[in-house]
Amino acid sequence: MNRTENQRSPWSILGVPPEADDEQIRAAYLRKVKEHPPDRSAAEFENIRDAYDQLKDPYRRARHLILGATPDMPLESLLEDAPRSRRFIGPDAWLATMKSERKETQK
Amino acid sequence: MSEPPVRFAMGCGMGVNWAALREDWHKMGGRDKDRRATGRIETVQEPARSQGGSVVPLRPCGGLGPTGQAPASDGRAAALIREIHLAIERGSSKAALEKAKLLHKELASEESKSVLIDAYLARIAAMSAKDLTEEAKALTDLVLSRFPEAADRLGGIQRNLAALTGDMAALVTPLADPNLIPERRRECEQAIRHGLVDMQALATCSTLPEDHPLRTAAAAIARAFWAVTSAEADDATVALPEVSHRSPLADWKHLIRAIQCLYRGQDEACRRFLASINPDSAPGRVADPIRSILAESTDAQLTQAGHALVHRVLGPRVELRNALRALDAAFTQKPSRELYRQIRQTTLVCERACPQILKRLKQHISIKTTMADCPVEPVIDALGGRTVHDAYFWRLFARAVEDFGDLSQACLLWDRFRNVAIQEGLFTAIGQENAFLYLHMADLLKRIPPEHLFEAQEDCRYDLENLEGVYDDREPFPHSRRTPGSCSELDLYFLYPERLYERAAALRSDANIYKEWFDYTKTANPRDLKPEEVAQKWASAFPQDARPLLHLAEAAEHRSAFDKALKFIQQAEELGGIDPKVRRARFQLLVAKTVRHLKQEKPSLAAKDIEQLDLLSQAKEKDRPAFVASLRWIGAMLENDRSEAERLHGQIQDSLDGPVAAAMLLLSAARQCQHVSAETNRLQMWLTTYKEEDIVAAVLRVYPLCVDVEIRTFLPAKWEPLLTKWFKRSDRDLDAKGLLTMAEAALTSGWQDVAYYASGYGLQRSGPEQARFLFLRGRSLPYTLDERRRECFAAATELAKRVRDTDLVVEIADALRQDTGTWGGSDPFRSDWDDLDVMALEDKDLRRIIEDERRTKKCPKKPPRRFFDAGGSRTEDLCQCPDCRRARGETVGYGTSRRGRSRRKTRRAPAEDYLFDDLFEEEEEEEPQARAKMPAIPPELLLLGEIIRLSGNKLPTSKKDLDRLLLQHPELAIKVAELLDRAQKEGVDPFSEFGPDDDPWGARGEFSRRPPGGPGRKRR
Repeated sequence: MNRTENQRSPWSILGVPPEADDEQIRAAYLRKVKEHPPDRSAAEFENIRDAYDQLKDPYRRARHLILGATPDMPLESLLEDAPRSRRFIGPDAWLATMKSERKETQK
Repeated sequence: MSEPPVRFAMGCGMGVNWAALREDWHKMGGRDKDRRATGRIETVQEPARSQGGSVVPLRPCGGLGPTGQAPASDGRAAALIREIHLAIERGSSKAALEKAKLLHKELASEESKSVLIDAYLARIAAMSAKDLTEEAKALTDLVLSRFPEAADRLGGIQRNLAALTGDMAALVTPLADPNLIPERRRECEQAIRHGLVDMQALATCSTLPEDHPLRTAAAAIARAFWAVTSAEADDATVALPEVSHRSPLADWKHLIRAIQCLYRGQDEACRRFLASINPDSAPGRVADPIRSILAESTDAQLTQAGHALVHRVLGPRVELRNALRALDAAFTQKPSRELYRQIRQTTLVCERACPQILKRLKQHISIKTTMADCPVEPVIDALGGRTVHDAYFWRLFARAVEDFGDLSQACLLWDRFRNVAIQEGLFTAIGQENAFLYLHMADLLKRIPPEHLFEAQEDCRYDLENLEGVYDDREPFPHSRRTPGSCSELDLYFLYPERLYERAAALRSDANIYKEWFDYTKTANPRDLKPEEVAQKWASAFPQDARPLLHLAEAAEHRSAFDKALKFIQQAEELGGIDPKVRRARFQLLVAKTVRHLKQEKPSLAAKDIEQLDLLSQAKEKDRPAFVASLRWIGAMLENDRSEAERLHGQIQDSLDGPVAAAMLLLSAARQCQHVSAETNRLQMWLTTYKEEDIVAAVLRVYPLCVDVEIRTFLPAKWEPLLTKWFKRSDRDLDAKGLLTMAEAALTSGWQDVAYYASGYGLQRSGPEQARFLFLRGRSLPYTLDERRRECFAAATELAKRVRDTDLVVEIADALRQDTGTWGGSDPFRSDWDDLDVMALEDKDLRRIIEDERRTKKCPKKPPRRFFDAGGSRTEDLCQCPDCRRARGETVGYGTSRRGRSRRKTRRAPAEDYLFDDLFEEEEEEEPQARAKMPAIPPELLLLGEIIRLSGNKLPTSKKDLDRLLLQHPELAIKVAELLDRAQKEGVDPFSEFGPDDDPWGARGEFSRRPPGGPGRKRR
């Protein structure tokens, strides 16, 4: 697992807003577990379970809510909670990369 | 999907690797130099470098004779052959080919033909490397037409060139042959695996039957690849059942699934699929760009097309990430125009690339610049506007101020966060989040020294006004409880830990909150509630918890309300009779009650108490029966029952195995009960006649008993030189426990020399007690050796941590607190736990300290006693209750817990390093000086303060009042007497400025043993 996945907040891992209540958190947890079953993506499942563990108890959730944000964290880490936007660009750029990489190998 | 020209790359196991081909030539030249020299050439089948590899270079194999030498007549030809191969090695394929042609023209032999084919091969390789694929293919065809016997050697190259020129037929036609030998089939499949990029071309290749598995697989892959790279693809699209795992196109299947996971955000699964792709295959060539996309980084070594792919997939997000990194780096520098430029640029990029985080980004930048003390206007300009002050902002601000160390301000901001968060619906006013927040604020406030907390409470209104100008002055600082028109109505609950605990306890049913609340009220003595009241609330909220009942019993005992205390203990026993604290409580209470009655010289009441004590099983444990007997002895003495007193004395002697121990215990109990008589004086005189061995045996027996029943051990002052000499000679075979006991007992009487020697013998021995001996050594050092003392504490802490002796760590922390509080270097801002953290030692330092202490056997000389450093500076002799300690000017209730440590030094804001360096340097430099300059509070003043406090915050106005006061507080009388004694010995007259009539308290007459007339009061 890379550094960026570790830095995601439990709310963003479960895909719920910070003001979500117990029911919303549980529903999001079940939804995410279905998306990432442990036999297919063990690490992601573990992340989801950890996030749920942190949020299901109101007191622990409060701890995260209040002490979670750190003002001295790198600004770059703000991106981790932002939705990822990966663009669909069609097959040409992919095939061109394969061909260009082949030439690099030849040289 | 577009249809690029059908191309294949194939060759030496890794696509058409012309460079590798040339390398082969180089190697060949080195290995077969001698054979080439003969001019004989033989065809050698080069083993494939990887699975299915098909490189078939020709190796010139000289026509060696029996001697291995070229014929003399062929000397020129051999030289020419060498030149040709050298030219090939150098990459001059054109020149090599020209010479090979000449050679073959002249010789026309098999050898020259082989050399010529070598040269052709090199030339073809060179042309292909320069993308002259058509020319290379034409040359290959030409060579094959002229030298059909070289077909084997040129087969691989021919297929490569067919792939490069889009000649799919040449590549896959052999696969249509059902009789194709397995080796050739593997070669073809390898070529497809490594070189085939255009699946559409393979799918439509007419040289293969329409239902050929390769064609159907290629068609499915082409569809799936287009689908997965153009839009969100479902699982059915990428299932690809047509592609078996043995197919040469199996890697494409993995690639397509990896791309699907990439777009779905399933990064882990994507990485797993990438790992299963053969890195030598065509799909393997996009694995690195995909990994770069996952990491959102373009740091990897990618080709231009690879970089372009990453940028096109990620869009400007990569640019934003780079900008954020640059801005983070800029914040580590001194604020400058460059910082504002970076802020402006990053904000713009963020607006374009990821507007979702723009608000948060601005808030973080705002807080960072605030903490870096940047001017407001340039920041607002750079941010393109003001930041939004929502709950997130206030939380961030509070954390930043908290990390900076301004804890009262942080609490104020936390309250602001709390209000806004409730307004935003982040949590409710009755939620657990709110309870946690209250406790967090209380925890912060506990770190502030009480006097500073008071100042903070007073200054809060000013701070509120100050905070209104933080980058957003559009809205006033809308403190929720600010009553319009009346600043005085502010509810500053957030600056009062006791109120915070109260609120938290109302929201969360947790006995630990009450415990923290109780501990706080006990140590900090707040104005609102007394500890007893908190314990009462605790008991009401948790009726099944015995702890508050014990606290209530203790409070009642202090008020001499023994019956009430007994009721509480009875309730506690019903709840938790097994708890040793509960079991011990009744015994302690009855002891206190008995002592109280004996102090009041009420032997009959004391006898009743002792009867109750006798009924307790706890009174029969260890040496406690002897102690109970000593209480009974005092009662007998008060009733003048000599025979009973003698009987009890004998009983105690029997119990403690000796007269010295019995006398020590009796005198200790008598002092506790403030009982003085001729018998006690006789015992005291008689004690000094014993030998050291008996004294040590008695101390080892009685001191633990006194600690157990919580009374002070009586040790005659004349024993100090005796024991010092005795220990100076040897340790007299005392075990570690005995040495520890002796040293502890000595320290309670201020006999530092004895403790020093005892700890020295303990240090000579290795074992788990070494930490305790080091701690004792530190405590036995005089205040003038502060540095050495702290080194010993540091080493003891380190050793205690290693043997997990947390009790000792806490004791050391307490000792440090006493050091900083009672000695010259008082620093109310320094917490003991900070000291412990700072004192972390490395192994070599630890060893050095232990060795030094082992070597230094000679006890340091006691410093000359200053008048100001009178007996009052010995903390063991002083009352350690919060009131008395506060009266002595010690810090109370600050830094007593681990959570109470200040994080000012360990957690600085990032910008703090450069902004506040000067400030901290100044502090650190000034600290020792300030300590050195700060004089200890004169003990006369301390005594005066104590007298005023004990007499109800007023000076005793008459001698009668003072007499009554001193009678009620004999410890105070002793201190006054000691002070006057010392002054007399040192020739200092503390009352010299008073005339004979200016001594309104008559202190000189009463305590200086120089009574102007009449006998002085008996000194207790």
